[in-house]
Amino acid sequence: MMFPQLKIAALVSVGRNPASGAPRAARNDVLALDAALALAPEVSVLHAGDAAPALHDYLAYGAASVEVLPLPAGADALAPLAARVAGYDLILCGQRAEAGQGSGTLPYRLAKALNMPVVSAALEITLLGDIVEIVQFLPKGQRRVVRVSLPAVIALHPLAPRAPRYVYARLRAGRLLSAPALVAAPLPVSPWQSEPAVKKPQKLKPPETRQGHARLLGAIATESKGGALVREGSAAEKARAILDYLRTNRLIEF
Amino acid sequence: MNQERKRLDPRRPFVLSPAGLRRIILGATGGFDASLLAAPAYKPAPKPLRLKGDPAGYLLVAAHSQRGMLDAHAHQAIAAAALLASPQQAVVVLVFGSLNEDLRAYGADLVAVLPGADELGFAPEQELAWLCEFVTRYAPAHVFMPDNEIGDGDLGRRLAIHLGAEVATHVVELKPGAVAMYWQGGAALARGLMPLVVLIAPDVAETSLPFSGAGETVAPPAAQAPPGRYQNRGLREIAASALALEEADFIVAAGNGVADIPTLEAVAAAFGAAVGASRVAVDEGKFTRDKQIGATGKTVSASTYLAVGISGAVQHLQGIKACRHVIAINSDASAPITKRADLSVVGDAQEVMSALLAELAQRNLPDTARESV
Amino acid sequence: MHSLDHLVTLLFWLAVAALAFGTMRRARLWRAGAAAPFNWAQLLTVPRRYLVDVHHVVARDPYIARTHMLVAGGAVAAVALVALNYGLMLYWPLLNGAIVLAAAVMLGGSYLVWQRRRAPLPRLSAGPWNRLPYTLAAFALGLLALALLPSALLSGFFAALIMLALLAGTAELVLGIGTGGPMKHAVAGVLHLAFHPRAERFAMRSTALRPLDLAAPVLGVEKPTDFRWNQLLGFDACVQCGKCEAACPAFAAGQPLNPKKFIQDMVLGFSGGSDAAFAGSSYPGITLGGHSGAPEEPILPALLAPETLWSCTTCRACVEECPMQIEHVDAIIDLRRFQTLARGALPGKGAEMLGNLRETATQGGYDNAARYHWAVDLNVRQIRPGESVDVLLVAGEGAFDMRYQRSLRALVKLLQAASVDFAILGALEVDTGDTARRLGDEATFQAQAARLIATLSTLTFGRILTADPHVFHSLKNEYPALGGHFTVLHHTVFLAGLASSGQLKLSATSETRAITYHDPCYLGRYNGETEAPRALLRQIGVRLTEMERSGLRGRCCGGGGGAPLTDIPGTQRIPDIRIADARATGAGLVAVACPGCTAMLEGVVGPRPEVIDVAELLAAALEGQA
Ligand SMILES: Cc1cc2nc3c(=O)[nH]c(=O)nc-3n(C[C@H](O)[C@H](O)[C@H](O)COP(=O)(O)OP(=O)(O)OC[C@H]3O[C@@H](n4cnc5c(N)ncnc54)[C@H](O)[C@@H]3O)c2cc1C
Ligand code: SF4
Ligand code: SF4
Repeated sequence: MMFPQLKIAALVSVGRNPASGAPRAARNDVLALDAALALAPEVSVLHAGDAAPALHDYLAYGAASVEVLPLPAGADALAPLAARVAGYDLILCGQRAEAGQGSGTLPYRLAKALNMPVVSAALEITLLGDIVEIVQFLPKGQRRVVRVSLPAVIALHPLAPRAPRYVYARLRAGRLLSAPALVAAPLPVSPWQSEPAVKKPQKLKPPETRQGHARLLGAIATESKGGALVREGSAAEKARAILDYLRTNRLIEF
Repeated sequence: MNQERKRLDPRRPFVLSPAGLRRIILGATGGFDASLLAAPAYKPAPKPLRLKGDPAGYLLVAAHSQRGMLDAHAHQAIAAAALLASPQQAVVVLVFGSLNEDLRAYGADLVAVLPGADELGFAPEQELAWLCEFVTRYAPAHVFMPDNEIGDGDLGRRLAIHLGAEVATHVVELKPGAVAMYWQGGAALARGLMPLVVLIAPDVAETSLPFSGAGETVAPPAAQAPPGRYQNRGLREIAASALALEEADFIVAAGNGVADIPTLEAVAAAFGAAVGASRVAVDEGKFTRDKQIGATGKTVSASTYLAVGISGAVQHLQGIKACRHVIAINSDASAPITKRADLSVVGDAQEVMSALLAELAQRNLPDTARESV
Repeated sequence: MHSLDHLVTLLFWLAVAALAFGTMRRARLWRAGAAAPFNWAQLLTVPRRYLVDVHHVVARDPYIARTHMLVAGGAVAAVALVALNYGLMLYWPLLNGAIVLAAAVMLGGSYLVWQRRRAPLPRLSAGPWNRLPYTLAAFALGLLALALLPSALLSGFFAALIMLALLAGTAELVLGIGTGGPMKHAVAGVLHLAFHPRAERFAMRSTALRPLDLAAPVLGVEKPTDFRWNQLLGFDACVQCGKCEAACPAFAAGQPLNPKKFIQDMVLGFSGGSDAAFAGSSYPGITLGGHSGAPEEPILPALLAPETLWSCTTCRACVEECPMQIEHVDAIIDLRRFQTLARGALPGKGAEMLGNLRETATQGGYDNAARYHWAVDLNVRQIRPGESVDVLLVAGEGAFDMRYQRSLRALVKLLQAASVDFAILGALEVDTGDTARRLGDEATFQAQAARLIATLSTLTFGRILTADPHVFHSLKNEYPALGGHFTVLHHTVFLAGLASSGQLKLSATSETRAITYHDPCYLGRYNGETEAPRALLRQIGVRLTEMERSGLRGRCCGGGGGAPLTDIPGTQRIPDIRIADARATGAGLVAVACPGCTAMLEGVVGPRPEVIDVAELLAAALEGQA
């Protein structure tokens, strides 16, 4: 059902292909855009940042235009976005960004700034008058149904069952619009230092107390997991080998 | 002489010690003795307490339980706190939901339980009020929570934003006073000082500890939030067999070497696993097309992938790149799947599947396995 | 009884009028199509195109070649003579004698048509086509009687009978074009030859797709009238002979595609109507009567099911077989272009692959920097701007496939053994965009092409060498229209040159199994190259046992046109059929020359001949090899 009278915004960011690092439309944000377009024919598609070429992809995915709110590099997108979507009924975004920090906190911060409820891990969104019903993702095939009243912020889960289509003709027809900055975004002092991720992160472990031989044995015991081949034995023994593997690796709990 | 030397069978029976070590069972020559695994013959030696004297400060861990148990991810959060705590800092654990396990092994010193608030509920404002009460009560140096999808990731973010505190999410590395997390979708690693709220990714901390927590029970928080804006309309459950393969955590997949589909489905049901198939099995009409895994089918990321009668053609392997544990049952020891698999059992699919079912029937399946079927 | 002669004159002119009227009516339908260049002088090309190009195809089936020569030749001669003798009211007995001769030839031909249709091949259409031997014979018999029997001797009844026969035959001949009957092909076929949308094909093997103007208001074809008018005319030339159907690998595999029905559906599209009356085999799995079209209505899904469109492997077997020189693949790509560019409606993994291309320049979403990882230990040169090299090796997507890396390594070994001055493109390489183009994504294809052309233009090399026929085809035949002009060689051609010049020294193969060779469509049919791989195999002492369909008429492996990505279900798989072809020769080894074919044929399960690239066979037969 379409709700043309509602003001719906989809927040989109510049994503990043995991193999090449190439900028692209972020997958989760595409889902948010697609979900928004299923609710209303007109959706404000907003991006805080540069008018990056990758934003054209959102046009291909159905945005009539993408409104770009200027943002100095490194600045926090919250203030300009919050100022822009004040007064909207529904604000959709992806649960976690692909590029940048990808902390998944923006929807929460936005909701707090606008004093709206926020629901994340959304798979399906249904409007029931001024109430919105959300089917939320839970692992192991569980789904939770949650209702909040509008206005609300909703963050889409990557497994949302939507099939957005990339359509070149729409890319050709749509436009990026640059919007005037409503408020200046503060440049936060980042407490983080980033480096290229080359080394594997280290697991937090208790200090090693075992001595030489025991340590060696320990190393062998933990490394001998991969590529084992069980040829001999009865079918029952083979079945037990499988169960044992599953238990050893805590894949089943009995 | 050399020929005489007996070689140790690497697959000799063993038990797993609490420290994660394999213990070869001496005297046993082959095969497994199930009773040894079901009821370990040893008693764990009592471990020393980590906390020395009265606590002079706290680290708080909060997590949702599932059916009375915390999961491995939550255990890691507790263990991480315990490993990072100073000898004078106590680890306080606030469990949303009932708890039927002992958290001392993971280093919990004080444990509070909120039996009515497990992962199935959804009352963010009330949970936030409880959590805030504990933050006020203990003034913890840090709050650790598993960054998961059963409510802790959500609650942790709400907490940080509510307090206006710095938060680190998806933390992949913990060191005293410092955290690291991936940025740029995994291309960059960001390091910084440990903020108040620390939401950790899975597998950042070892859970087999050389010490134990005090494990005292403390009163749960009692704050009452005013009626909230969120209305929980209950749960829907999708049977494991009907679960989209992309979402499944355990997949039993059939290939050309499986003739008896009902048995395979029974094995999957016993594990609470979803069913997948190779293209050949789909082509033969044994499965619908949405069950196909591989280059032209689904790409899956289950932790456990049991490939029965699947040769492991590249196009098939492409679909299971992200699977952590691959187990193969195949009559051909040289099938390509055995190179990919962590464990390969060489044998007839039908026989091994039947034996698996028999073994599983002998054991009393705990609730976890049965309910998710 | 001069009245009979006059009656024939009257009939003749009425027929001319009916033919003209019918042609005009039909032409109105064609002209609703999009613009295409037009020049009356092109009509002059018809005799040559007919006698050379059409005959070349028809002659593969000697029976029908003879039949058509008799029927059509006889009919054309007879009608010309009737025009002279009766149309111009000469009524010369001598000309009547000539008419007798022509009509007798036509009658003989009609008999052959009748013979053919007594136990028709499944690929032939029934329905109105079944009456053809009778109406043609009636026309011939009518003329015979008219010209043989002095009109004075004829009774009124007999004269009426003759007129009836002539009327029936004439109606068949002249009303077809206006009403869409079988004889429509005579007019449309001639005009189609003259105004063919791919005129280049009469001069050379022409298989490149034409670039799409990405600024055009309609991207590709949505409605029948979006086809160019001469494409519509071309559809009308179809004689429903079903040669294309018999050659189509998708049809054979039970996928919902039949190129003959496809062409007839396109005719329905611009002329309007339902497919209920179609008298041939339907698309496998799709019953007749459920689809209909109109000139201004979208073709998908009312007239054509999407599964039909996406089953095609673009193998061009249909085009190769079509006596009427119809271009099925061009039409299919036109339709795909609209579906992909204006609707984003690709099935299966198609859209995912296109996203991968845009984001990673690889089809599989790989890290492009890893494209030449297979070559790290081979000590090969990586090309750099400013350094010149003779041969530049472009690997293609197969570089990411562990199996095909074996073939590439074999190729490198051969090049090194022959001391070829070569370098690899390395991480500078991006996908050619070939598969994107077959899936209708002209935007992504042109973007990829622009990238690759820009890269190549910064480098100094003599020739491009590739082991992938799809890379070969797009670089050689399709990049020129986008400004990329390169000398491109397929590895079999290049190696054959090295071997015959003695630069590559080969000994006899140690292979004892019977060997057959599978022609990749994009090397054979698309580029006419069927001899080089065979010459190479002969060189190492292989005596090939050919499969039933080989060379220019080889059967597709099922891997072209993005078909493995769209993966439309059938009753079996195309590569299974191809492996069965190979087994039928008793071969224990199928030699291939394409990464796609290798993957498809190796995907066949169960015991089967081994699949080995020509380069691997050669590398194993290098002289001086242990
Ligand atoms: C373009 C393309 C795309 C493809 N996409 C996919 C895809 O997405 N997914 C996919 O799966 N395949 C795909 N394939 C097909 C792939 O190449 C293989 O053909 C297919 O995966 C093989 O399936 P299988 O392992 O079930 O069958 P087989 O190769 O026949 O293997 C059967 C296995 O079962 C074992 N076996 C036989 N009997 C028994 C028994 N009684 N007990 C135990 N083991 C037994 C055999 O030893 C063998 O290893 C694709 C192929 C191509 C060319
Ligand atoms: S190109 Fe090949 S697959 Fe496509 S219709 Fe023609 S014969 Fe069939
Ligand atoms: S398209 Fe060509 S080959 Fe196919 S039926 Fe028509 S005339 Fe024959």
